[in-house]
Amino acid sequence: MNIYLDLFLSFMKISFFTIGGGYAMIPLIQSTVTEKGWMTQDMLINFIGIAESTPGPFSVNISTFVGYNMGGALGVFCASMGILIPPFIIILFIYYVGKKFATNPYVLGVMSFLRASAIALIFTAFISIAYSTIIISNELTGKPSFNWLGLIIMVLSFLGMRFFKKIHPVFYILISAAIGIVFYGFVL
Amino acid sequence: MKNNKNLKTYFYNLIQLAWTFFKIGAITFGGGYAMISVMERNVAEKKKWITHEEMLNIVAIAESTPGAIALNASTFIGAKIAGFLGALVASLASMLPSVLIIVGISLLYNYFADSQYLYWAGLGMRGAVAALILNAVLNLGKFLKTERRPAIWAILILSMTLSLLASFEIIHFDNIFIILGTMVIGFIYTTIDIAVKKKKDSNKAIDPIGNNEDNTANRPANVLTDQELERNCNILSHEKNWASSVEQDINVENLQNKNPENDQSFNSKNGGNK
Repeated sequence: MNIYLDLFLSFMKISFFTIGGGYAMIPLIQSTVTEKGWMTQDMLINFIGIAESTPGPFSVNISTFVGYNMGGALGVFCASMGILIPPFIIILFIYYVGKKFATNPYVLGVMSFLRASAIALIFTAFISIAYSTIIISNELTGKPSFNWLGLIIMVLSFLGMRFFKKIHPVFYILISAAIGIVFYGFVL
Repeated sequence: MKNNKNLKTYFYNLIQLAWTFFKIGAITFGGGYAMISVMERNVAEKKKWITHEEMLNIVAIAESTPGAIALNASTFIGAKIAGFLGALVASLASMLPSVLIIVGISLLYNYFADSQYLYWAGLGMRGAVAALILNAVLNLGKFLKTERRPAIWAILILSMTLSLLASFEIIHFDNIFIILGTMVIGFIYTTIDIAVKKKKDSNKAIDPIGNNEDNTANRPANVLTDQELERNCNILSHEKNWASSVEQDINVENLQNKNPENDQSFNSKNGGNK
């Protein structure tokens, strides 16, 4: 398939099927971009960190990144239009036709189910990212090894996020990136 | 002549709309709810384009429709202020800053792609990203504390099992089927639930105790329950700390006062619909 069409349709699918926004999109993005070979799992994890440190919605950030890498400026356009168009049409429809959408008992009912499965999907994304954090394969030999430092960073930044809510998550991303350079580069 | 003047104000509004949403897109880190609370401050409090109550409804709609919440909210607010063109302008303007920034980052990323430093930084960052996602799971999962319907828990466990199996490639299928399946099951369950509630309602005369539990099924269609209102208010003030750490000069106190406990008039206005 034409890469531009593929970008447009893939991101349209991601956008259409994620309700709740933000991190609820990660599971679908993860399976789409890794299966299509647009990004590796490691690159995606790096990018989640980068996206958290830059302004704007996660979906727009990731669609721009993938779009730019796969098809330059036109790729960015196709991918971000894919992200924008389905919700745009639905919102306009609600605005002009179905104002009571958000309080419709059927919508609320289905929503409470979707919230549950969205949590399940994000939890799975967490498990897969935590796995990539704790078990890393050697760059050259590909031999898997246990990453103690990664586990420690994960636990500490999680506790930090839970107990010091005033600190922006970007802080943890930047600090742990710095720790990564110091330890993996010079100490270990 | 008069028409011409209207057209002029219309375009002036569009430009103002574009600029406001461009700014919102450029300064809010963390996306989603952080962006919504900045939107509330700028669009509802400063510009007074919409009211606080309208904003609460917009949050409810943006959450229950597909796509990024912040983008959905911009589309809706844009439509409210200037129709179709307004919706287009607002959503594109709020996307534009992150598109530009990410294109810049992509250039840098590709330039340094083979750098050892980037590899080490990425390796260190992984733990924090995993923590970030787990934190998101816990934040989104707050509603489960009060969730008593076994069907919801069944869906949660079933989707978790299926997606974990798929994630470790034990079985092969697309996550989309989990979402589609949930929609179908949710719809069937809700339909039956509503039918049962209706029947119970018609039996109320016989049952003098009555079942007065607040249910989504048997209330007027255009009002949010107190619980939902409170939740949406919290969303608006939620993550205010994140937003304010980015944008120090914006005053968050106003937003905090919007909590339903503090705002009596707001509470009484919406409180009587149980």
